Amino acid sequence: MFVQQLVNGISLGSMYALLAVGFAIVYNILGIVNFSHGATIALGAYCAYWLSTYLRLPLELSMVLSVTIAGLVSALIERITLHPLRRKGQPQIFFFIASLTVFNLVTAIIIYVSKANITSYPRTLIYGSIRMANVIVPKLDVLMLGIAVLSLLALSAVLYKTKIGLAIRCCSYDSRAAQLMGINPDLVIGTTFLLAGLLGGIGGALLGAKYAVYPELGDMVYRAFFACMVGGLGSLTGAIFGGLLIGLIETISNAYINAAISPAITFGLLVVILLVRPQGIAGKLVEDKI
Amino acid sequence: MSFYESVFVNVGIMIIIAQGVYVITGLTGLFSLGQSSFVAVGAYTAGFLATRFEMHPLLCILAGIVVSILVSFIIGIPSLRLRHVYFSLATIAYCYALQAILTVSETFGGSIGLVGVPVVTRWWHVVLGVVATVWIVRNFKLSRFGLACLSVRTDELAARTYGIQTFVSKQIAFSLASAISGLAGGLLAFNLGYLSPDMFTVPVSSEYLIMVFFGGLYSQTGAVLGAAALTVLMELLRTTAAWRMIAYSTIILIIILVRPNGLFGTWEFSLDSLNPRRRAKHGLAKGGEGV
Repeated sequence: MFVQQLVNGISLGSMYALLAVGFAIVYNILGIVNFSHGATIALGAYCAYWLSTYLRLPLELSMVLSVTIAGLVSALIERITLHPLRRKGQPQIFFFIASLTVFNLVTAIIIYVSKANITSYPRTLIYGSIRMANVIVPKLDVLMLGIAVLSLLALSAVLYKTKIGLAIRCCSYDSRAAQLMGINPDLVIGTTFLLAGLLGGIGGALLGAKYAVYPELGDMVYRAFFACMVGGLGSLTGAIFGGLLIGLIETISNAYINAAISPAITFGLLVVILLVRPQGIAGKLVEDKI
Repeated sequence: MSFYESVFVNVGIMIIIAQGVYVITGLTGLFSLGQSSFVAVGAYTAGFLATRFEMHPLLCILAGIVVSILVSFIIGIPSLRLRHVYFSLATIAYCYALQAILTVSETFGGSIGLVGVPVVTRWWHVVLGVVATVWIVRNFKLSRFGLACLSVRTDELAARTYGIQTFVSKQIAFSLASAISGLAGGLLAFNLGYLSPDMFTVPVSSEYLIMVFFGGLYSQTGAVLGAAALTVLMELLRTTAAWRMIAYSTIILIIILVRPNGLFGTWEFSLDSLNPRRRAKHGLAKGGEGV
């Protein structure tokens, strides 16, 4: 039973990790809390739903397309709303509010188009489950974990093996110096948002397959925010750990205590972790926190 | 209650909530995404006492304010030590936690919510609440506690160097903001007649924050007028039905992009500024940081 919950928790946590990493790469480069990430999560789920239901595309194809759309929308959001603020050199709080407003706007559009219904994809993504000893793992969970691992590997390949990845890392160390070295910050930041949007889209599309497609799916961004911060500011590995931790706490408190009270337990524990270990579980010291 | 009165009551309650957000975010610089849960504490306390013990509405609202202040200490003492976004995180956590507790608790009606609260809020109650709140917040802002909060917002380290107990200042501002939210919650409970946990979510808090931001984050006048303008706008857009949330968010987004400081920036309305002679005497004509 416990092993079973552990497996479920890791699978859910891997989704949170994807969302958290998307949140963290934007935080690293601009130092802003990007709530518009939630918009890409919801879009990832809804575009897959719309494409597969109304255009009758195969579900797998519509998921791939919806992830692409989420990525592009994320870059577009940056271009339209955050770029003007950045050019004027506005303080962080304006980004905070602007991204929150964009998130609300996209949620409002989704609610308008979908009539606020809770729906699901026209068919289940993958049936059946794998049985090992007395642990039963749905194939969907295995698939989610697999896709999460692959996406994170792909992300690290982009960040560490390509030229644009080098530029992104360079900008997150020191964006001014990067600019002086001839790196175009607009291009780098645009790409970062594109990558974040892709990760958000993947997370959204798969969470839509696991649970249901509903407009509040974007609220997962708050969990991503938590995972990113609890894991350790400015560390992508930390964000992954944070995501897994939230997934585990949530699944275990769902199973052993009560599903309705589990947010209280999860978030309470996370605050305790923040208080006792302000540098995050990844251990990178950030003096600014307390 | 006529349509116009109900709009008026809504506007009044929103102004009170915005004053609370102004105290904690505009004045002290802490981004609280849990303000809606303090409204929930006030509303649920008032609603619970009114339905179970049939207490007088005024007593219920007062009890709501007291409980909000108590809760603000329970939440504030650990989380106000955290800075910047970490405080926002803690308030998000609190908001989710409270919502979960309200959803499971049988006493408070669970996920269906608390029903059968008497609908007694009239326009003069709200006017009284708004006037009292605005007056208290204005005096708080000009008092030494308010100045301490302002210095915490501007530069926390510098404030500490000058001997300001930043933690105490933050706790005072947080408790005042909670008390104001509790008052708004009480009025809300007696206005709507029912309460449910999903009326007080994190997105709702973010809407409060955006409302204050719209008017000008550092201006009390802005908080009042921003809240009033957006609530009226929401009612005007009612004719467009489903489009209204989209139109509403778009208008706010455009304002934020065009005028990042909000409609009023740091400008404050004062009776003195209407009189040119006194204006010169107080040096108000120069403008400057809204204190």
